[in-house]
Amino acid sequence: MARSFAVALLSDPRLNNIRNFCIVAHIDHGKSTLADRLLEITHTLTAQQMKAQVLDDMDLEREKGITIKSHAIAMEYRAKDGVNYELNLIDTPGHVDFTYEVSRALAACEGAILVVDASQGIEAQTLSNYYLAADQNLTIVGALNKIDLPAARPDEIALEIEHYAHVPAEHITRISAKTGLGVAELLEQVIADVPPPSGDPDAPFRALIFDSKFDQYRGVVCLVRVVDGCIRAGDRIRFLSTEKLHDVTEVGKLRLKLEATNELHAGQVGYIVAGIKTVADARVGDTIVAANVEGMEMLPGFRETKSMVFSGLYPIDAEQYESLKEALARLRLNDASLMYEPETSVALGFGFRVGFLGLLHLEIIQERLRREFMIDLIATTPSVVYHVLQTNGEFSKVDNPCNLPPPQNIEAIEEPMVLAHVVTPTEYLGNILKLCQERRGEHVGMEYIEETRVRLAYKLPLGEIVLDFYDRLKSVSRGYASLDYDITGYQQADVIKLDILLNGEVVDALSAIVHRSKAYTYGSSLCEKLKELIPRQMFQVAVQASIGGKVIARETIGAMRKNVIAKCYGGDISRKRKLLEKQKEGKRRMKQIGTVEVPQEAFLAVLKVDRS
Amino acid sequence: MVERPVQHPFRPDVPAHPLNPEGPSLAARDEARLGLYVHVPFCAVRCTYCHFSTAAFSSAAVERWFAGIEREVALRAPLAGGREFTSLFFGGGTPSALSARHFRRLWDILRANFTLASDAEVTLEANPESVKPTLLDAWREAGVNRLSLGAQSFDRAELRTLGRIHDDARPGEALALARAHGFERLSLDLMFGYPGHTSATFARTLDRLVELAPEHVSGYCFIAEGGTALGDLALAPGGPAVPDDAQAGLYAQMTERFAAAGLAPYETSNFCRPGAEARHNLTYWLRRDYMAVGPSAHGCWNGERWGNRYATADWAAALERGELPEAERERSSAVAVEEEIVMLGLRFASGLLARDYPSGVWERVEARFGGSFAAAAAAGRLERVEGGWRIPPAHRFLADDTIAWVAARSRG
Repeated sequence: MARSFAVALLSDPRLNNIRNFCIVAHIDHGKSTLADRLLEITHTLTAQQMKAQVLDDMDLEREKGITIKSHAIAMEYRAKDGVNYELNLIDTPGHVDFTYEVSRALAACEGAILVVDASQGIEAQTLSNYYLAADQNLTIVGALNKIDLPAARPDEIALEIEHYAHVPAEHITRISAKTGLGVAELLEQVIADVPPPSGDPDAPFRALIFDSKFDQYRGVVCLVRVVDGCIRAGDRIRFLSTEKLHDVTEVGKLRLKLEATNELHAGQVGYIVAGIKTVADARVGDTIVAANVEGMEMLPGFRETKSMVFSGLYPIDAEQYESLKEALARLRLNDASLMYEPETSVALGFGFRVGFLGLLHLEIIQERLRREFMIDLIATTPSVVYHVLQTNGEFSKVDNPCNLPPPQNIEAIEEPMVLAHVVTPTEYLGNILKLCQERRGEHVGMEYIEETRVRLAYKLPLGEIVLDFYDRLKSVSRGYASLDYDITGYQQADVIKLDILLNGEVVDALSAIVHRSKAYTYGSSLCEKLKELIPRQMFQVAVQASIGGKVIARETIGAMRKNVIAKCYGGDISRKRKLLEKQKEGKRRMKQIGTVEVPQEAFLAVLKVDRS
Repeated sequence: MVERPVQHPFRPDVPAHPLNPEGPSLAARDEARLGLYVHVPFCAVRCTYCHFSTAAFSSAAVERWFAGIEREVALRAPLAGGREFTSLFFGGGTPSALSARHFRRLWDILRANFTLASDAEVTLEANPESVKPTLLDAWREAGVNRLSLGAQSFDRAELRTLGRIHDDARPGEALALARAHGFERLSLDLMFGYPGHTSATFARTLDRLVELAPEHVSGYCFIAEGGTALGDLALAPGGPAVPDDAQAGLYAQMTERFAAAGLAPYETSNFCRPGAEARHNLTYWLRRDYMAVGPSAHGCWNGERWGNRYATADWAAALERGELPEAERERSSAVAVEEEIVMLGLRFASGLLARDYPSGVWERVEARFGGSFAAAAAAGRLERVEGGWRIPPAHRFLADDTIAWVAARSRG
């Protein structure tokens, strides 16, 4: 290809044999399997080290089939041209909550393998990831995967890729990541098509952090792409966003484990260890420069990560409070976007108010606390941050509905707004417009990307989209629509606090701030949902929604009438013991609130409510 | 409640005192000291709801079973070390499937190896259709003093559903015959809440049962066991299972009808006239020691629980190799003992009473559960009774909910 040829000529000879690339794909189209094959072909891993989906090293990632953290691995490969190449594969997160992190990982690459399932064809994520890659001017190498499956339609799908991702159909490599068929050819194509990195090894040092992680022995490990210059242990570096100085103690390459080297130079991907205590000091997207050089410019695209959704996290067992505190501190070491501070709830006792990037982030943290730290949790109704002006002139930021001042003391409330862009095939346009209207969206614009696809712009309250908008969007567009949004500022809103009462007692953890126009329907559907989620109990339970003390909706959960095993079998009580163990476990996962036992799921009922 | 002065089994310091209106009485609790269970696996026909260990009847099978019983008794009896058994229970299967000659042979084996208290309760489970004068004579002569008859229902169609081979008149005839042969302690098994069961047919069954005036009734709610004909039918999606609420209604209907007839509840599924508690079952529920022989039999002895191999052939084969025929054995941890005491004791209508357990053990129960008992009382789940706690009568069919509630909040 002309472009890569030109760049190769201009590139420094020290950079010529480096290729930095990533793989982008829709979920289940074979990204991780392909990564595994590449590691195998390049002998980066011995057969023994090989286990399925090596790069997704959290159990959770394997299970959800999505990558949460960025990963990178360096491979060495002797190509057909007889030259040894240094190949850096960077794996990227795959969810809208982490779009920013993805963009930084892509910024560290020159090329991307676009993997498409030969039977499924192009899907929403294929495109949203393709656009992210194209935004970074990456060279796209097309790959049709799973061509060994009977349902494969490689010719048709190749044309689809040509149409949407502008890769000539005849230039798309056909592979089976599972069997390894065509993977060597694909790798040759990456070497031929993806340009070597540009950059000046002799200029002052400058690198992009595309991820950072906490290592028990080394402290923070910054994963970097060196843009200019070179770095060695003993060098002093500066982080441009914080102006903090650190002394480098180790640099190296990202093999299966960290592998120290003498230096990293322009064009290379690797890691830097510099006595940093927390990942919050090594932010994704930040620029690292040589400490002694003034006037260095920040690499483009850096953004402060900001919590968008707040939720209270409480241990079900009050005795686990200290463990929860420690666990959050541990997670924070490795997740700069996780913010938290202590809070208390009447219903739930002592816990923490935690800030997240989005709902998936919340789910992941909750799940990790459960699995890795064995803490059973309740998460309260998620909320955004409201700006509240009181009649006495006092201004406050409220991220917990319980802290909303009484209505008579409120002069005005402002809610955060976003400008959202939705890309969708035209056939789902009607559904999506309806969804945006339901969420109090204000239509800003619409443009046709091509005949069959449009890009919609909507101004939406963040509170209306952080909870389940993404899921709803995916469901009304059969997965084809993609979403991106930016916070634009605050806007006055007629919102009020809605309380939920169980048997007459307000459950503060279930309170929510909602728009007045939706309070009634929202209150009724929340009561209905809670009726579904709270199991029948020994006593009748009244579920009520109220605004300012006035009940606006009610559901009744009838009393349970049977819960007994009829017989102890002829002295064999093991069966009853097993049943008791199960029931005990069930009881332990419930929170006793007043007279009512409330299961964990009920606290997230708000997410499952049909808000239309 | 009629109280008879009976010495506490191991705590002479515990005085007898007036009891709750419902059983089991203190006397009944104190009489249940040490149990012996014998499993007779043979059945003429397998019932559609039954998942117990059963075997087809043949003379070869019976001979092999006898040889197994002799071997197992020889292995286990020395452990009893001459302790007096206060109850003996022949369960099944269908113990009444054994001929009079076979029964006498079984009886001789047991008498030669175990010591029975002079006033021991000796129960035999019988199918109504198998109750015959010759058998009644043999049982009576040997010392059986209590019969438990599987009536299940007094409705012909329902009996067919349950796979029972007797007709609706047969339990009454069997009961009369047993009385004529001098049996004074008669129990009937009843089942409710199985597919097709209704309140109307249950009312007729309850009336006919009450007319027969048994001393004791076990009224079991149907449990759908996968792998049994009726269980699979009930478990099938959209199957004819009777909903929980309707089963609860049937339970209330039964309890009410029995109360009117002088049959008071003393355990979740058991009702009796004053003084007619099933002593052997109390041994299980009070967590006292019991020895057990035969396939699938379960024992609890000296702090250990064991369960024999389930299938008769496996059980017999192990014994033929000279091994104990057990499938499982475990030493009960302190935590397990305390939890079992609560789990079983709270099923009693008259409650879980401190006096029933060795000193030291109850103190540990208190230490672990005291706080949750009080919390349960505050939540309306438990009632204080003299010397213990009980589940309020209205919640008896919800016992497991409170037991799990209490256990989930116990210490440790």
